[in-house]
Parts: sequence; C-alpha cells; structure tokens
Amino acid sequence: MSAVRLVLNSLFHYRWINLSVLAGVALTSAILSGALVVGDSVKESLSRNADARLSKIGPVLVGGERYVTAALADRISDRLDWEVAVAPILQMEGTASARGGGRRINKVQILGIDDRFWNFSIAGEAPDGFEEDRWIAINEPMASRIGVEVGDTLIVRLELPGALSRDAPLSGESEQTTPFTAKVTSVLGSSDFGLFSLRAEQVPPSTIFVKLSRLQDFLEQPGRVNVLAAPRGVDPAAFAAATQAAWDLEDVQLTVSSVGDAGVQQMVSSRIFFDEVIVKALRQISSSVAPVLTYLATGIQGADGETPYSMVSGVAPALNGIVDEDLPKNGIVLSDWLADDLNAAVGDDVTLVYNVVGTGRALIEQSRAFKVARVAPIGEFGWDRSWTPEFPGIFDVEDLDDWEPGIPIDRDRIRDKDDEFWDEYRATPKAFVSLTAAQGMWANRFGSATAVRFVPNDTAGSLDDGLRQSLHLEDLGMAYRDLTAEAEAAVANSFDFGALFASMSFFLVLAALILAGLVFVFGIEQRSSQIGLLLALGFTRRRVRRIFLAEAVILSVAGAAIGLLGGYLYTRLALYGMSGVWQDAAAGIEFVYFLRPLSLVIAFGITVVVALIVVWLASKRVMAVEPSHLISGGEDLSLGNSSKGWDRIVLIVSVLVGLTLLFVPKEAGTMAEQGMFFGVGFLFTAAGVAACSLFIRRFLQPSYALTSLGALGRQHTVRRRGRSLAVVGLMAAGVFMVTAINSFRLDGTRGAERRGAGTGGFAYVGESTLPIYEDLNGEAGRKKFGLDDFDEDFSIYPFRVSNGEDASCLNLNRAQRPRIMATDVSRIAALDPFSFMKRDDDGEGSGWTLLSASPQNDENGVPVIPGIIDQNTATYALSKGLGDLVTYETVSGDSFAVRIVGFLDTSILQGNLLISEENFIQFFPDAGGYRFFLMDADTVDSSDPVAAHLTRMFGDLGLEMRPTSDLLNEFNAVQNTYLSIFSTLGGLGIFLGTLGLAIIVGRNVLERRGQLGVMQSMGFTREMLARMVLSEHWFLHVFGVILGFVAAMIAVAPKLSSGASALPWALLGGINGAVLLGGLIFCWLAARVVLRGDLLDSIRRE
Amino acid sequence: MSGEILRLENVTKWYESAPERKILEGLNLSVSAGERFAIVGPSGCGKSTLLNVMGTLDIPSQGEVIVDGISVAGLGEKEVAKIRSEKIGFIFQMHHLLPQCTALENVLVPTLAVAGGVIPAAASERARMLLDRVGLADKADSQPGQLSGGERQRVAVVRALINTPRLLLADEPTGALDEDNAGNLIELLGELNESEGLALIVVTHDRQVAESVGAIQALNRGKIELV
Repeated sequence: MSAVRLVLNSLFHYRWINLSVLAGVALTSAILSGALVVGDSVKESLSRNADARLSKIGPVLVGGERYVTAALADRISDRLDWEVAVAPILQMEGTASARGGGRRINKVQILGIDDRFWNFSIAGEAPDGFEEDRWIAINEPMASRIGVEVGDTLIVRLELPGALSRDAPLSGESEQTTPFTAKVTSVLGSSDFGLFSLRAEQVPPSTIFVKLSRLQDFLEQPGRVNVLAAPRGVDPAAFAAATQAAWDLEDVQLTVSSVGDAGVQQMVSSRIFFDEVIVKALRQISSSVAPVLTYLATGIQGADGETPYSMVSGVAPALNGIVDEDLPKNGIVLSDWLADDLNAAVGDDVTLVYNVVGTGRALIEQSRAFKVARVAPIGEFGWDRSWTPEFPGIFDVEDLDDWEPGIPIDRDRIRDKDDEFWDEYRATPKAFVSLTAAQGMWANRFGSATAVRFVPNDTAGSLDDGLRQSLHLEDLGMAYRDLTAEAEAAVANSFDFGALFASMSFFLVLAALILAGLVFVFGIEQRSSQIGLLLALGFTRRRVRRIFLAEAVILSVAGAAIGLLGGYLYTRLALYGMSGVWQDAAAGIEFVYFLRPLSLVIAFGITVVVALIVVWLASKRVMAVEPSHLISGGEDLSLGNSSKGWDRIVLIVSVLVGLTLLFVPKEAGTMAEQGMFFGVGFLFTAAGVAACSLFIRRFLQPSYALTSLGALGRQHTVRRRGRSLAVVGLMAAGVFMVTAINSFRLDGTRGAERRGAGTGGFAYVGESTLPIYEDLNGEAGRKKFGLDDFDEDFSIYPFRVSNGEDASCLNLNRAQRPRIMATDVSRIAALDPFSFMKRDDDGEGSGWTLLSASPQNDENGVPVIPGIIDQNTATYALSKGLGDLVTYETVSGDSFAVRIVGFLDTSILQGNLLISEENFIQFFPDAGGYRFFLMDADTVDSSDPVAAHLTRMFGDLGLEMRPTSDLLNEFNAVQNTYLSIFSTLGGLGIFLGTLGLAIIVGRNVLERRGQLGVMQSMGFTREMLARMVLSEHWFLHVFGVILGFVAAMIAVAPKLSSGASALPWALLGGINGAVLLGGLIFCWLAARVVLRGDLLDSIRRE
Repeated sequence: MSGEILRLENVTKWYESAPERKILEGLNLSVSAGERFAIVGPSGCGKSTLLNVMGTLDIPSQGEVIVDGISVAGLGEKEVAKIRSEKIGFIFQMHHLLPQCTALENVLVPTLAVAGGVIPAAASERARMLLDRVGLADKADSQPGQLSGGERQRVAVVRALINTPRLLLADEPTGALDEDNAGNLIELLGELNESEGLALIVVTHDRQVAESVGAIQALNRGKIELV
C-alpha cells in the first residue's frame, strides 16, 4: 500500500463527495475560461470586422477635401512595381432616401470606385454587373437599414465639392447639395467589400458604391479622387516615397501659365487661396516670387460717388508694370475706367469697402481709405483679367445679375455701366494696391495670396521636380495612413470584454470556489476519524495534509480541465446574450467564437492554484484538531460564545459611520461618491450581521422561551454561530451588490431639463451629415429658413466637427483619432450647461473658459491647445488623464496637441474632444460649417415643432434633431447593459451560493446526526426533524437576503430620492426572488436528502 | 400500573448485507410494567439490535413487536414515532444533549414530539420536578457544556422520562461514565423503575452493571435466555 494507492483509493471510495468538489472546480474553470474566451472572441470579431472593413488594403493617401488626379494612382503603381495596382477612390458623405422620401438615412458613405478597387476585396474580383455603366450598389447594412433591394430607387444627396471651404470668403453659395437618383443594381456583402470603411468603428457605415467616372462627372470633379489605396503588404514608407516622387502640379490643384513677355509664370490654385507652404516652396526654385491677392470690394467710394462690386488686386512691386516700389501702403492705382467713374484723380481719397468672414461665416463689413497714386489704362502694363482667380459664382458668370459670390449682392446698386464693364472686362481688377495693404485687409486662414507670379531659376529642373523637393502632400493637408497598423492597434487596444466578463463573473467564481471548498472540507470532516487515526499511527500533520492535498490536486487538475469544456458553453451563452438582450454593450458587431490557447492555460492555471489555496485554507482548521478527538468523533458542546460584545460595538459603529457617510455631501459621479456608496453598503451589511449575531445570541438567554420545534431549530443557529453569520453575511453581501449596483443605472430622461445633467439642459440635439454654414440664431438665418415664424424662444449652439473616430463607449475599437468638436467658448461658458468632474484649475467660473487659451508651443515647438472631454472617454477609450496630451496633425501636416484641461461628467458630448472655435479654425481651416447642434428651449415638447422644422429644412444635409435624452440614453444603454450583465451573472453567482447553503445544511445535519437519531428515538418523525432543520437555515437565508436588500436600499436611498437613479425593479425582483426561492428550495432538498439516511446508525455505532 | 408492555413474537433479524447471519433468531420475549432486567452478551451478539427492535427503532426481518398491545408491524412512520414518544424512553451511551439548550430545555425537547411541535405548559413543571429528583434542580438553566459527564447522563435520563413512558430502554448507559457515576446512574434507574412503575431494560456488556440492575438475560446466537 503506497501513498499514491491510498490517495487513489480514497478518491474512488469518496467519489460522490469528490465529484462535487470536481464540479465546483470545473465550474470555476468554466467561468474563468469562458470569460477569457469571450474577450478573445470579441477581439477576433473586431479583427475580422477590421478585415472585412479593409480586406487587402494597406497604406492609403487620404486627401479629405483635397482632390488628386486618379492618374496619380497609375504613376505610384509604376513606381511601386507591385502586382496589385493602387486604387483611386472618390469618397464622399451624403444622405439617401427611398420610397419617395419615406425612408431616409444620414451619414451615407458614397464611394466612386473602378476595377482596381475590387482587387482588394475578399472575392478579389468585381461583383457581377460592374461592367454596366448604370451599375450602382449598396452594402447589406444599408439595405437593411433603409429597406431597399435590387431594383429600388434611391435618391442620394451630397455636397458638391467646392473649390475652397464654404467658410472661406467668396466661396460661393452654401447650398450646394445636389441629388442624384439611381436604381440599385446590386447589394454587396462582406466578401464583396461591402463593409469597406476607413474608420476604426465596428458599426459598418451605410455605403453606396458608384462607378468612379460616374461619380466624378456628377461631382464635377473629372479625373479626381480623394483616396489612393495601396495593397496590404506594401511598405507604408515605400508608398509615401513613391507618391512623393509621382505627384505633379495637377495633383495639388495648381496650374501654371505664362503671363507677359518676360518669362513670368503665374501659378494659380483651383482652391483660390494659396497655401503658404506653396509660396515657400516656390521661393526654393525662384529668386523672384511675387504673390498676388485679389479680392472683391463691395464698394469703392470716391468723393463724388461709388462703384459697386469691383475686384481689387494687391501685388508686390515686382514682375508687373502696374505697381512699382514707390507705391505707399495707402496708395492705390485706379484703372482709367474707375477713375472716370469716381471722377477721381491722383491725390484724391478713395475708400475700399469689403466684407470679411468672421467665425460662423458671419460677414463683417470693413473699409480702408487710400490715396490715388496713379491712374492707368486697362489693357496696358499687363492690366488684364489674369490677376483675378476663378472665384466661384463670379469668374465664369456671363451676366453680372447672375453673380453668386457667397455674400449678399444688392442688385439695385448695379448700374448699366457696371454691366458694360462686366461684358467687356469681366473680373478684371479695377484697382491695384500694395500686397502688404491687400494682405492686411484680406488675408485669411485659407491663405494670403490668390496667385503667385515667378520667374523660374535657370538652374532648376522641371517645376514639378523643383516643388517636390520642398513640398510634401502632407503639407497640404493630405495624410498617409497605414490602415493595417491602425486596425491592429484599434483591435489590440479595444475594450477588454474578457476582463469585463471575468470581473462580472466574480460572484459566480466565488460561489463555485466556496462550493468546492465547502464540499472538500465536508469530505475531510467526514473522514476526521481517519485523520486522527493516521496521526495516531505516527503520520505527521504535514504528511496527512499532503495526502489530502494530493487528492485536491488531482481533483483540481481534473476539474479545471473538464471546466475548460464548460467554458465553451459560457462563452457561447455570453456571445448569444451580447447578440441579443445585451446587444447594447457591443452594438453592430457580428460575433464569432474564437479561442486563444493561452486563455485556456491562464484559466486552467488560475483555477488550479486558487482551488488548492481554497482547500488548503479550508482544511487547515480540521487538521488542527487533536487526534484523540478526531478518532472518537466526540461531541463538541462548545458554542463559540466568546463574542465579548464585539457584535454590539460593530453594530453601533457601523450604523453611526454608515449614516454619516450616507449624508455627508459628496460630488455626484466621483470616485469618492462611489467609494462612499460601497462603504455605506459594507457598513450596513456589517451592522446587519452584528445585529443578527446579537439576535441569535438571545437564544442562549434563559429568558428565551423554547416553545416550539421552529424555536428549537432557530436555536441551532447559535451552535455554529460563525458559520451562521457567514451564511447571513455572504447572502447579504451578494444581494447588496447585485441590488445596489443597479442604482448606477443611468436614465437620460431624469432631470434632462436641468443644467448640469447629461443633456446639459438642452432640449434637442442634432447632427448633420453635411455641414450647415448659416447662423441659425441670427435674424437673416432665421428668416431664410423660416425659423422666425415660431413663437417658441429657442437658441442653437452649433459645433464645428472634425473628421475623426467615435471615441464613445459605442465604439469597441480604440479610437485612433478621436473626433474634435468646437463651439463658441464665451457663449457656452455663459450657459455652463454640463457638469465638470475635474478641472485643471481652481474651479472658479465656467470650466469652458479653460478652452479660451491660445496655442502655446511645447519644448519641441508643437502647438498645444486646451481641450475638454468626458471622463469615461478619456479613461476607458483613450487611457488619458487630466493634463495628458492627444496629438493630431494639422492640415499642413504639422503636429499639434490637445491638452486635456477638464473632464466632463457623462453627457451627450461623450466621445468627442472639445476645443475652442478659434483654435479649431486655426488647425482645421478646411472643415467648414457646423455639423453638431444643441437646441436650448424651454421644454422638449414646446420646442418639438421647431426641431421638426429644422429636421425638415435641413433634411437634405442629413440633419436630424432628436431629444437630447434619447442620445444620452444611447450612451447610457452601454453602462446599463454592463450592469444587467453584472446583475445576471452576480445573481447566478448568489443563486449558486445558495447551493452552498444546501451543503451547509448537509454538514449541520451530519454533525448532529447523533442528536437527530436520539430525537428520532424520542418520537420525532423525519418531517418534524426536517421542519426543525429548515427553520434554522431558512431563517439564516431569509435574514441574509433581507439584510442585503435593506442595506442596498439604505445605500441607494439618497440617489433614488434625488431622482438621479432608478432601479430596475423587475430585474431585481426576479434575481432576488430567484435567490430567495432557490435558497429555500435547496435547503429543503438538502434537508430531505440528508435526513433520508438512517439517523440511528450513528447511535448504533456507539 | 401492571400488564404486558412489550412482547416480541418469534422475532428474527438479519441485515440485507448479510442475510445468512441471523442477529436475532426466533426470539420471544414478554416485558411487563415495573419489570426490569439487563441484557448481556459479548460484543457483536446483537444486544443493541435487540434493544432497537424493542424500541421500534429497528424493524424485525421476521416476527412481531407489540408495544402496549399495539403491533408495530405495518404501521407508518408517524404511528411508530407516536408509540415511541408516548410509551418508550431511551437512554444511550452518549447523552447527545443539544449544546445550545439548557438542561431544562433538553429535557423538554421530547415533549415537542408529542404535542405536535409545541411544548405544553405543564411539561416544564414536570421537567423541573424530574431534574430535582435526580439532584439537578440547581442546574436546570445550565448548558451541557457546564455540566459534568454524570450530570449530562442524568439529564439524558430525565429527558427519557419526560413523556412518562411505560418502557425505559438503556443502551450501555454507563459506557461513558466513571465507576461512581455509573453506580449512581444504575441506582437512579432502579429507583425510577420502582417509583414510576415503568419497565426497565438495560443493555450492557458490563456484568457488574447487569447485576446491579437485577435480573439478567443473556443473548447468545440470536436467542435470549435467563441467566
């Protein structure tokens, strides 16, 4: 007989006990492995989502608002010499409606693609019918969202790309959306690249695929694209190098033409205003560079009259014959036509009146006085139309009456002679001023020149080569992106559902381990005489313990291994839940089951180690008993009644401290509040347990009247007081957690009208697909859009929005470029609508004023601007703290950083980084207009007609106004779903814990078998004995459940009474009811099973 | 009080695990009120089995047990339990007192079995009287842990008497007591036998204890014979 044999024999002999231990360990392993595999599965699902999104695309060049030529793709391909060609893509955003406008969806991605695009799809070939000219496809998500199928007609609206930002002066009219109608010929699934998106978001966009040439024609951008995609595998650096070497002037929207006879070249941009970097680059290849800035003067006033709507050019005193070096800063050269019109001569004063664009596209009229320095004839000295850029709505207009320059034109001011001038000279400037004076008046964030005249150096090669030496596409706001790396980073740093489920399964794991420990100890206690015998035979305690631990090792290893199979079921159920009732936790993702072997190894290891620790601790007490006592199995008459009054002290202290914490003022939503909340819960639970201790202690008092069988049963609770209180405490703690944690549920409708609430007190929120440029608070804007008809007093707070990724809790991926939003700081600071959780200052005044600071350069010269963000986004989505930096790139390719200076409480601004409008304009000059709107009004109901009107008016731009509480509840749904998951898993854990109660019933009965046998000999029936046993354990169980519930109610009472929270009574009723009932049933079953044995056997054995 | 309180008719007992081994075989016995005797025999001869069969704790494999004129055969658990609670008192080697109850409460516990789970008011008075009778009046409110071994066993005796049984069965009642306490206990049981008129049967392996009881019946190979 070896020790191994002894262990194996014991395992077999006590197989039922051992199987129970095995089951507890297996359950632990199943939960842990299942939770970790949930994490693996979510990550793999996101990874596959990214694969479906990007498929075989690697590095890309994203032009955004800039359009390169599609031919650049060919030139890059030639240089890369890769088997798969670079694909040109025209990517736009718009809205789509179907069924006569009955169904509409916003934020639709519209892709113009050619054959090369399909090389990147999983199928690797163009879908059927792509060769047809009228081919147009939508992706499956869009088909289901808008409810259309092949053959249905779609009306798509998108903004025609302007030559320059609509925010720029003289950019033409803002309403440039145009519809096109198309019949859907295909619906594309994921294998046909239907889920293509450049954004690391798991919810696929609604996408319309159009043939590239067709979309280019429609957008009046022939041959132009704004995305160039290289195949996966191409080195991003090689792609950037090839692109840099391949682009030409056309790709950066520049054209060069000869002006005059002296070899002077003029470079103009189809974007009208010149990027400063281009002027700088030109200086590298020409020693003679003369920028030109031409602008529209709404009036030129002389002593005897005024000439309306005239072009005026500012030029440097070089490379032209009109303005010489002697022209003073306030000097002006008039054309003979203008001098005649104003009856002005050299030395006379004239005043230029013009409009500049302020923030929010507001026009500001300004003027400046000049003295006539010279009068020159049009047509001589190079005075011609070439000085004026092709301002949209002006340059190519036949009739002056058709002008649409983007500023109000008073047609009454236009005279016949003005028409005649237009007919003859068109947009030829009527006057010249110095470049310095012109830039002082009209330079703006889009540039300070509308043309550059230069004479190339003789030594320079081609102009393209020369420019490429010092000008990079990133300098012009285009961006190279390594989508593969971005997607990997987004997935790798995505929300860890494995950790979430593992932590949320805490009660389940705890319950399973307690069960395993209880059963194991139960088994040891049953074999206590064996232990005593072994000790009496000369075995050391250590050796005996090792024998039992050897059994535990075998059970733990086997249980953990078996549990890994059970983990499959856990994961499947969790994924099923997240696809169904818990879908708000991970909306828009199609889950796949995926297992990383390492997760199983981790779960296995943790389970074995923890299970062994539990059984080691659990067996410690039994092993400490004297051998003689173990052998005799003598009755233990001790009552463990040495509380020395601790329960009374604990009760008083816990209640006093708990009440103090409950009513001490605390800042809502802070960690301190949450800490105090749990502190209060713990203290009241402890107080309850202490009260229970005091209560059951009175069973020992002579005054306690033993009047019934039930009373006798309850009196048994004193016998193992520690065990009894442990039952009460564990039940109470579990019920408390599951109940009270639900007070953290968020309801956006509660207090929605309050400033400081998550809604900011705003009634409606809206987001438009395409920008809205008009000031909807101004008289003109309200009149224009019929908003002045409403009696309701309302105010709109518009936000500028950068392109970026959603960093809110709705996006499981780690946002690589969180979206930036900006608004008028002084205006929102005056309202101060949202609560700050933390601020980087003394907290005086509105936190929004922190955004007013101008950019400050850090030690590397990188501009740093202040920003605020909601705390959850910063903490969980970005892993950033107060004072941390989030780095971005400017349109000119330079970096800038946003320093987080304030944390907002959970609000409708979640997922966005907020900066001041001034800073936004500086760093995102191309992102014109506003795309996010908050409407402040008395109530949601009263302002509903206004919101509906706005939605109607700006429907083509994809604006949809909805109550702020709806948006807030969308965010809240994520946290609420996590709480539901926790409650469900926690509830299951406690339910499982009630099985432990059943084991305790068994232990207690078996320990008292002799007593019960004697009672049977006295004439007690089994039913009576069961009643007695149940009255004891039901009492403990019910006390624990009620205690936990009451403690939870006390802890959450302030939150409930303040209206900040509401409990899901049905869910809690279900969970706690199941726990209560489960405990009662398990106790009953345990009592029945244990009392079914021959109780007299123990007496017989005496 | 007189008349037959217990009769065993042709009782045979074997266990399912070893049916060939008869613990009791064709045993006939009649016990009258006020009668007392000890049953002796070597270890494993079936003394306790006989006592359990007499006390209706065990069912004979064959034969019949009649307690106070009522045949136990065919009765349900409730009826048998009622017979035990009203007519039979048990004393075991281990006292099996409830540690959380006082001596008085321990004595009262059997009354719960009689009165449907509620202790009658008069029971308490009787319990105190009985405790007084065994010299434990001042220990009525003591818990078992505060009593000596002999005192605990006396409480167990009183507990067996609380429901005024007609038959008192003691299984090695002195097994856990020292010599003095053992003598005192047997003396007490004898007094109770005489004063209460109940039948007393003591199972013991201790010849001296058996002689103290009075008449001795020996159990040998499943049969009982007067010594």
